[in-house]
Amino acid sequence: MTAFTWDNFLQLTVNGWVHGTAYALLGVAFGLILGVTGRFHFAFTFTYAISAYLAATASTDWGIPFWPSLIIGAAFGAACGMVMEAFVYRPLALRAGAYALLTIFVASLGLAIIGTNSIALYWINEASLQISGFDNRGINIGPVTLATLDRDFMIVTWALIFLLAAVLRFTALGRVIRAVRVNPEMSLVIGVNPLSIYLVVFAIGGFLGGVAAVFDATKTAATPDMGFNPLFYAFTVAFLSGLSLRPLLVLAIGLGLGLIESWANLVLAPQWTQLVVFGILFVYVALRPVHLQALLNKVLAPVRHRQRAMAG
Amino acid sequence: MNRDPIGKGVSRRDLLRYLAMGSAAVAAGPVIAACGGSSGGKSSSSSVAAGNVADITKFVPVDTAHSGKGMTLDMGVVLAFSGPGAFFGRVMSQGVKLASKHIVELGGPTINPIFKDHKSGDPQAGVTAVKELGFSHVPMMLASYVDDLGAMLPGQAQYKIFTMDGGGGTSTFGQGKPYFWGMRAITPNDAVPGTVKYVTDKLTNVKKVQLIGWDLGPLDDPIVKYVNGVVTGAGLQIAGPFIRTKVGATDYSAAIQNAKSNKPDLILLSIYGNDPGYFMKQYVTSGLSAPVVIFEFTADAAKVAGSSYDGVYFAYDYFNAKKPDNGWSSIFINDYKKAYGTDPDFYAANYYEDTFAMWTVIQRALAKGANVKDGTQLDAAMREDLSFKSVYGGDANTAGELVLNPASHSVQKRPMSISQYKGGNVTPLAYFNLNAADYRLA
Repeated sequence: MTAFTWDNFLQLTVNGWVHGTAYALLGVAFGLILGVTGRFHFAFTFTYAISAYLAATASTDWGIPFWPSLIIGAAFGAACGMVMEAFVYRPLALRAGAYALLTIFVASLGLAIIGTNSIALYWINEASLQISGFDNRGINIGPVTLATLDRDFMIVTWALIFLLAAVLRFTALGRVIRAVRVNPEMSLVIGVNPLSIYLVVFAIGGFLGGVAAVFDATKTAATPDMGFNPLFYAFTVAFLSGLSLRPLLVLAIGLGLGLIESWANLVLAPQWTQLVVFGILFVYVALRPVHLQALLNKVLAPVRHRQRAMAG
Repeated sequence: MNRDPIGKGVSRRDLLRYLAMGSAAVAAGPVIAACGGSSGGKSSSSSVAAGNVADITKFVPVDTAHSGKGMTLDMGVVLAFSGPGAFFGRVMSQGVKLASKHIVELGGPTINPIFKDHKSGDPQAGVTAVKELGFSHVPMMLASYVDDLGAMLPGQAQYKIFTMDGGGGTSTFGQGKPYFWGMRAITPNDAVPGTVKYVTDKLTNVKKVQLIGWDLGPLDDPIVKYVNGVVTGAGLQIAGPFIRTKVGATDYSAAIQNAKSNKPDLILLSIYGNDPGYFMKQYVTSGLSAPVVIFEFTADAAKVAGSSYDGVYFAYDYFNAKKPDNGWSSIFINDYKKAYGTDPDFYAANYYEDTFAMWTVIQRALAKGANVKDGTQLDAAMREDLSFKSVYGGDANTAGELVLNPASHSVQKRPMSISQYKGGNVTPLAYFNLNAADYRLA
C-alpha cells in the first residue's frame, strides 16, 4: 500500500480523477445503449477493441495524425455498433419475442468472442498495436504529476459528456431518445420509429466507447481482448447510475468510483484495489436503492419529525 | 486433439505480412537488433557465417547408430498461445518447429510436437494439458511459465512426463522437482548478482533499490528474500516493501505511485511479456526518474514501450540474433529468418536448443537400449550427463554449453549480460554468469 502522506493523497486523487473519467465515459456509452434499447451489448468489447485497432492502423500505417485517427477509430466503433443492431440484434429481437433479452445477450456474447478472435487472427503477427502521434509527457504541478495524454483525455471526455447531456436535455433528438426509452410503443404512435433511434443510440454509444478505447490504447497498446475489463467498469457505472439518461450523474458516479478505487491504495496493495469497485457493486446489489431509501428514511425520520414539529 | 494451433500453412496474406515484417525488420534493424556483443563473455565483434543444416553436426555431435531415424516421437509443448503472453507461445513454438525440421534433416527422429495452450499462466489450463498428455502416454514435453507456475508439476510426476522449461526455468519453487528441468537462468534471481555488481561499479549514486514484480502469491517470497539478500549484501538499501502487480496488467499507476513514495534510486522490475512495455509507458510520465532494470528483452515489449524504453537496462540470458555467438547459432538464425521472416528472439532460441537437448537425451537413451517412450527412462538418461550444446556462447567452430545442476534441476552455467536500450540500440554493458561469476565489463 502507499504511505499516507499529503503528496501521495494528492497524486492518488489525480489518478482517481483520470480513471473515474474513463469509467464515466464507459458508463455513459454502455448505459445509453442498455437503457434505451434494452440490449445487453456484450459485443461492446469488440467495438471497443476494433476502434483502437483502426486508430492504430490509421496513425501508424497510414501516417494520419493522432486526432483524426481518434475520430476514425471512434467512428468505426460507432459503425460496427450500428451494423450489429441492424443485422443481428434487431432481427433476433423480432423473432425471439419475449425471450429477446436472453437471445440478444447470447448473440452479443458470441459476437464478442468471434470479434476478439477475428482481430487476433487478422493481426496474427502482432501481439499488440501501438497508436502513434501523441507526444505524451509528464507535467509537474506541485507534488503532482499529470500526463499530457491524461489531461487531454479528461478534457475531451468531459466535453463529450457535457455535449451529450445538452443534446439529451435541450434538443429534439434528445427528447425523442428519452421518449423511446420510456415507451417505445407510444413513440411509434406519435410517429417516431424506435428502431431508427436504436441505431442512433448504438452509434453514439459506439463512438463514445471508441474514444475511450483510443485513449486507452495510446496509454498502453491495442490488444484483441482489451475491451473485456472496460466492459465490467461500464456495466458497474451504468448499473450504479440506474441506467440513467443523465450523463452528468453518470460522470459523478464514475468519478466517485475512480476516486474510491485510487484512495484504496492507501489501505490496500495495488493488486487488490480493483476489488473495491466490485465490492461497491456487490453492496449496491445487496441493498438495492429501495432498501437504501428505506434506510435513509429511517435515519432521517427523527430529523424530519423535528422539522415538521418546528414548522407546525 | 489440437496438434498445432499456430498452423503451418502460409496464406497469401501471411506471405504479404511476412514480407512487410521483413521490410520492417530491415528498416528497424538498429532498433531491435543491435542487441550487440557476445552473451558468452567472449569476443564476438564479428558475425559468425551461417552454413547449411548439415553443418550443425560440426557443433552438435550425432550418434548415427542411435539417432532415432525413422522413429516418430510425440512431444507435448504446453505454451501460452492465448492471453497476454500469446507472443511467447508463437515464438517458442516456431523454435520447436524449426528444430524438429532440422532434426529430421540431420537423420534424427520425427519429433511430433503436440501443442497445448496454458492461456498465459492459467493453472487449470496447464493441469488439463498435462492430464491430456498423460492419458495419451506422451513421454516428454516442453513447458513454459515455470511449468505454468508450478501447476503442472504434480501431473508430470503422476504421469512420468520428462519435462524441460526453457521459458521460465525452474524459478525457486520448481527446483529439484521430479521429471522437471529448467533450461534457462532463473529470472530474476540468476541475473541479480551480476546486475547488482554492475550497479555498485557503475551507478554509484544508487543507494536505495525497489523491487516490483508479478504477484505470484507465496511463490514470490523466496524470490524477494533472495533479491533483497543480494541487494543488501552489496551494501545497498531496500527502498520499500516488494510491490506486486497483476500478471498481464496494463495500468501501473498505483504501483508506480507506491514506488514513488519510497523514493528509490533504482527499480528492479520483474514483470514479463508486454507488461514491462506498458509499465514503462506510464513510468516515464510519472515524475519518477530512477533507472529501471528489466529481466527480459522482447522486441514486442520494446514496440509497446516505444521511446519510453530509452535508458532502460536489461539483464538476462541474452541472445544476440545480429551477432551470433557460434556457427550453429548462425544456421539457426538464418533458417529462422527464412521460415518466419523475422529474427529469432531469445525465447525462440531457447526452445530451438531445448528440442535439440531432447534429441540428445533420446540418443543417449537409445544408446543404452532404453525405451524412449518412457519418461522415467528419458529422465535417467538425462541425469547421466547434464551438459548440452547451446546456441549461446561458444565460437565460430564450437557450440556453447548449457550445464544443469543435478540437485536444483536448474542451470549452473549460463551466459548473461546487462545491456542498455538507448536511441533504438541495445548496448551490452557487462557480461556475467551465475552468482556474477566471470563478470567483466563490455
